[in-house]
Order: sequence, then structure tokens, then C-alpha cells
Amino acid sequence: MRIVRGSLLFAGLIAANACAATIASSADNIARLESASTNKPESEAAQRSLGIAYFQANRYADARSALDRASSMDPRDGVVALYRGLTAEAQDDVSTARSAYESYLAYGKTRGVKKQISQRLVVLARKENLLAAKQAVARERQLSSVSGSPRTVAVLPFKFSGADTSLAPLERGFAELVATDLSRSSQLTVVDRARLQALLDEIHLQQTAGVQEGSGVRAGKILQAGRLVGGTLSQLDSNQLRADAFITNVQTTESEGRGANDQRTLDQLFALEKNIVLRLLADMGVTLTTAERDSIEQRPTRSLAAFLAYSRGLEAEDDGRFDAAARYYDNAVRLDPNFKSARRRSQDAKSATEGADVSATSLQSSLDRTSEGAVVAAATRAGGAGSTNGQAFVIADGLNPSVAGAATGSGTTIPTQPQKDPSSGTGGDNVSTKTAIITIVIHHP
Amino acid sequence: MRRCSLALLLAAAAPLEAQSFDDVSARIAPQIHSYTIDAPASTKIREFSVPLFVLVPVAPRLTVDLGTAYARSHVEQTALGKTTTSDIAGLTDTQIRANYVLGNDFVVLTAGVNLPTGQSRVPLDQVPAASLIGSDFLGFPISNMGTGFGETGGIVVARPVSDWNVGAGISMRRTERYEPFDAGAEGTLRYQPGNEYRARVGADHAVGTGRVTLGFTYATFGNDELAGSIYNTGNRYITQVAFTDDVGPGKIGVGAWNLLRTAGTLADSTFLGHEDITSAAVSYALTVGRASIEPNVEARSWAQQDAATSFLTTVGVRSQLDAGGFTLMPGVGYSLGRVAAQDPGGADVTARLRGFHATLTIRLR
Repeated sequence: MRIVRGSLLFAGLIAANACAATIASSADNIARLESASTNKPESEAAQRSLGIAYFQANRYADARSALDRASSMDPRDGVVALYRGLTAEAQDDVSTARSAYESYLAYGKTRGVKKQISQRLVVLARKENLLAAKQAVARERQLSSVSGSPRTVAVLPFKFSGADTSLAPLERGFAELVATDLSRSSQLTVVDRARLQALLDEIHLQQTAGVQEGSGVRAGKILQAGRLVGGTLSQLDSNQLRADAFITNVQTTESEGRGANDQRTLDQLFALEKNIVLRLLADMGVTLTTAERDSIEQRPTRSLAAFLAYSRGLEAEDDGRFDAAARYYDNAVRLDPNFKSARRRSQDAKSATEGADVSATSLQSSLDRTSEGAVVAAATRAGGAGSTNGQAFVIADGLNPSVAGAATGSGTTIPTQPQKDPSSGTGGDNVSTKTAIITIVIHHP
Repeated sequence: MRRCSLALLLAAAAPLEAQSFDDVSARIAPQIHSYTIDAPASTKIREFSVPLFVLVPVAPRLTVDLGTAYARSHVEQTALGKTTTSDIAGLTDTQIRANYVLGNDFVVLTAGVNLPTGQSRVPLDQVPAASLIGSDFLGFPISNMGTGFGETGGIVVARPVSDWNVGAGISMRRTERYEPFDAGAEGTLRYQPGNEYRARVGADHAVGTGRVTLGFTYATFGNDELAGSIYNTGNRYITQVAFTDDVGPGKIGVGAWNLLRTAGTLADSTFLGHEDITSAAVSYALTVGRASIEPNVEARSWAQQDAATSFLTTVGVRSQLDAGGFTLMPGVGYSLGRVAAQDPGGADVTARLRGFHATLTIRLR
């Protein structure tokens, strides 16, 4: 037992010493880079290295300043864009992170990182919506004082009632269909579903049973929409569905038009929805062109089962359950391979799932052994701190050289070793360069 | 041994199938290198080659790369007013390497195989074309057309020491027996290269915004055996130093290396004196719009025991620009110097040397 304790204590001391050494050399590294940055304030590389080193040391405010300076010097530097994004995320500045990551997608070079960034952007878009919703609610009084355009329409989830609760996800699916079809008209601007849902989540508006006539205008005012569309879906018997839709004027809180309603069998759901939309458009005084009308007549799928699966996916997505959402969307695609919206949303949901796992560590890991990774390694290893992976690989390359690797260059014209693999001196060329002697051996054995 | 290596290859290939190709990078670099050596050597050597290098990060800790090349060598030699030519062309050997990182970046295992896809058996009329590209001094990018099957394994350990990153490694290479010459009806010669043992240390250190890199490699060899004759051409010591930094609007690079081969013996047991090649180069890269232009100059010397010292100076320029998903790196260079030769009377003299190089490296990712 004494031996075990001693070993543990010893291991603890080693870990503590290693940690202290790392912190000390990281501080040395930063001090050196700060000095270099001060001496060469016009050097974008110096600012970049300093910014990366600050980020690695969790000094985000300092990192942001240095990386902003580097970015202003060279907006096309992908590594700077990446670390600006990481830093902004660490500071919860989602919009700057998104903008920086989009810059990386434009100018970055490492495909693995680009793929992760694309996935991360899906997560950030949701975060940005939630943040915007919080800020909008906080500024509700100010936003509500500005009248929204009557041409801006928000479609809220429909309220379902009926015995078959498996149809309840149609609340979102039906609203999505209505919103999509209303947006076919060039005279209307339909509020983005994700943005609207983020606001609804924030103010729990959906708990007030959707939008009934003359109610639920709070969300509309915050969104500065002129009109709200909402309604109910009622299952009358096992096979009959009735839809009632209302238009609410956000400013007057009064209903507009006569409202729209229709009742059909379940398998005529899409015909029911088209009929409702056309009546709503008529109530709004919107005249459709032939092309717009033809567009509205298009159905996303012919399969009710696929649309139900899709609606469940929307529900799961709104709850933040992207993994489950992807499964529902995949199921919808399996039932109807031509269901394009389901296929697109499946991809987005998968990106959101994978994007949630994207971290600074995973991104930096993807940079290993790339040209951009070398830039980062140069910053983090400048003073001997951090990974020595680069040095180990350089030595491994010299121990086990690749002729083609050397012949295709490594990024600089400066030869740091003989281009030729020195070991080939023991190979065929060493024999054949002694041609005269070999010939003698052949002819005079 | 061969069976064991095939098993290793298969093991490496299995995860490749499951790997996303998003992270694969590749480089291809068609290039031509030509040297003309005046009398008394009166030799022209020209090599056109297309090396291909593909790097696949199989897993976060495992990378595999594959390198091969197509090469065409042409040699013209004039003696007593008569010019003879020698040509050889084809695929060279293929090297597959794997590097595996253990622990927290500090230990790297490296392994590789040399697949004999090139032409290792050379008819006598192709010997000049196959052999003169092997010169350490001229440094052709593809230095031989083919050897036997070979295996390499090694381990590297790297650690931060004070303000330096320091690493050290050892490796061993074994090459299977092969027949380097096709002597027709006069029979064949079997060649068994000796095993090679390498040790290498390296270090890098920040200097301001720049970086200095040092390296030293020691290679020792077991005895070679050619048709029953045992010999050893000497050990090799390679010393390297490089420095890069931002200077003014551009980036400067300074590099030097030295290759020292100790004395040894040839296949007929005659003495082979030592040789020493030193190279120093400077480049300066400037960014112009979306491209960079990098003029460079290199000086090289070759000291051989009992021979005149050879010199070579190369002036070149290289550019780098991104085009779509590719990076293009065209480069040209012109060389001038003198190389050791013997006059008809057997006296050590030097012959004028001129050279031209053009390369277009295309990098995907």
C-alpha cells in the first residue's frame, strides 16, 4: 500500500511539474510573440501567430484584438478567419463567429476543416436565431412601436385536436406547407420558420394554443410582421380532417377577411392545404400569376406517410433533437425518394448533429499535417511550448524519406537536405555508377 | 519477410477503404532537369520526370502516403569524336509509408515499403542513362529507376527542451536481393544491398518571428554483396540547417546542408575515397496579388578525395498561386559550374557545366 501511495504521489508530482512547465513555456512563447508583434506591427504573420497563441492560452479578448488586426491586413488569410471564428465562439459572439467561419469557407484550404465548419454553421444559425429572439424580446417595446408591412406574413403552427395523436405533428408540417405556398407569391415576404420558431420558444407563445382570432399578436409585433396566419386542424373522425385558418392584422389585432376552412379525407391533405392557401391569398388581396399558381399546385410528396414522418422531423428539430429529426427525415425519404425538402432537411439535421460535436480541438486536429496546420504549429511551438508533432514528423520524414515526396516539393525552394534519398547509395545506382569496374567483372570473371 | 510486409500493407489498406477522401492531399510535379558537361567529359544528361505523391490521413493518428514517378533519362556521351546515346524510361519504384502517432504527439512510429514497380534490371546499353541520374552532386529528383523490394521501420521521439523542440529517431532499412544488370547471354549479377541503419536528431527554435531548424543524420550500412564480392561504400553524415523569417514585405529563407560520405571500398575491393557535398541557398518570397514570387540562388560544392573540387551555382525563380482547389508552383532555374573530370592524359581537371531546370508542381489541397 505504501508503494502504491508513493507511486501515485510521484505521478502527481510529474503531472504538476509538466503542467507548470507547459504554462511557463506558453507564457514565454506569448512574451516572445508579443515582442515580435511590437517590433513588426505591420507584419500580418506576427499578429496571426500572437492571436493563435493568445487563443491557445484562453486569452480570448487579446486573441480577438490580434486576430482582428491580422484580418484587416489580410482578409483572405484562412487561418486568421478560423481562429477569429473560434475566438468569437469562445466569447459567445455568434454573429462574428459565423461571419469569420464563412470567410474561412471562402479562403481556407483544409477540406476537413471546411466540412466541420459547414456543419458548425448549421448549429450557429440556430444559436443566432435563439440569441436574436432573446434580444428581440428584450427590445419588445421598441420593436412593437414600429408597424410591420402588411406584405410581411408570419405563419404560426396550427393547433391540432383529435383522437389520433400520431397526427399531432401535422401542426408544424401543415404550417410549413402553408408558409411555403404563401412564399410563392412575389407580393409577400414570409418570415423564416426557424427565426419564428426561435421567438416562439422564447416567449412560449405556442402554449397559448396557436393563434386564435384577435390573439397572439405579440410575436407578430416583435417580428414586425403585418399579418399573422394561424389556425386549427381538427380530426373529425378517423378519416376526416378539417382546417380553419385565420389572418390577424398585427396592428389592429383584428381578423382580416372571412377566414378559410375546408374539410376533406386525410389522403386529400394536400388538396385541403392548397385550397386553404388560395383562400388566404384571396383574403390578403394577392393576385397570383399563372406561374405562381402553378408553383403552388406542386406537391412536395404524394405520400401522406412520408409527410407525417417529415412533420415529426420538424417537431424534433424544433425541440433541438437533430439526431431524431434526421431519422424522421430519412424515413420520409425512404417512403418517397423524390421528397426533396425531406432530403435537404435530413442533410441539415445531420450537419447540426455533427456540428454540435465540432470543437476547437477537433478543428485543430484536422489541421494536423496540412499547410495551415504548419502555420498554427509555428505559432504554438514558437517558444517550445505545445505540440512537438511537427518536429517528430520532420525527423520521421528524414528517417524514412519518400523520393516522390521530395521531388514534388514541400513548399519552399530552400533545400534543407540532399534532394536525393541518401540511402539510395546502397541501391542500384551505387552499383551502376561504377560501370567500368562492373564491365570488367562481367568480361573477366 | 515479404509475406510479413504484404500483411502490413493489407492492414494499412483496410481502413483506407473507410476513409473519407476529403482530407487526401496530392502533389504532382512534371519537371525537366538537363545538364551539359563540356570536354573532356563531353556528356549531356537530361531527365524528364513526373513524380506523384499522395497523402491520406487514415485516422487522426495515422497517415499513409504513396509516392511514385514516371521518369525518362537520356544521356549523350562523346568520346574520340563518336557520340553514343543511352535512354531509359518508365515507372519507378513505388514507396508506401505510414506514420503513426503515439500518445500526446511525442512518439511517431514510421514504416514503409518500397514496391519494385520500376525497372531494376538494366541492359548494359541503358546503364549510362540509369546511373548518371544517381549523382549526389547534380541531385536529380528521380535518382534511380528501380531497386528491389524493401522495408523500413523506425521510431521517433520528440520533446520540448527549454525553448527548443528536440527530436531523435532511429530506423532500419532492408532491401531484398535483385539483379541490377541484364548482361544478356553473359549471365546475370545478383546484388544484395546491405541493411541500412539510420539515426537522426533534429531541433527547431523560434527566433523573433522566424524559425531556425537543425538536423543531423547518420547512416551506416551493412556490407553490399555483388556476385559474391563483399564491399562497403562508407557511412554517410548529413548535416542540415535552415532559417526562415519575415523580412520587409517578404519572407526570407536560408538553408544549407552537407553530405559527407566516408571512405570505403568498391566491388573489386579497390579503395573508394571520401566525398563531401555542401550546398547553401537563399530565397526571398514576395506576395504579389494572389501569387507569390520567390527568386532563389544556390551554391554547391563537391570535394572528392584525389579529384578536383566541383562547383555549381543555380539561379532560379519560383512562383505559387492558387487556382480553384489547386495550388500551382511553376519554377525555373539555370545552373553554371565546373565538375571534376580527367583529361585524356589522366590529369585531374574540371569541365564546364551548364544546366537548366523547369518544374510545375501542382498541389491539390
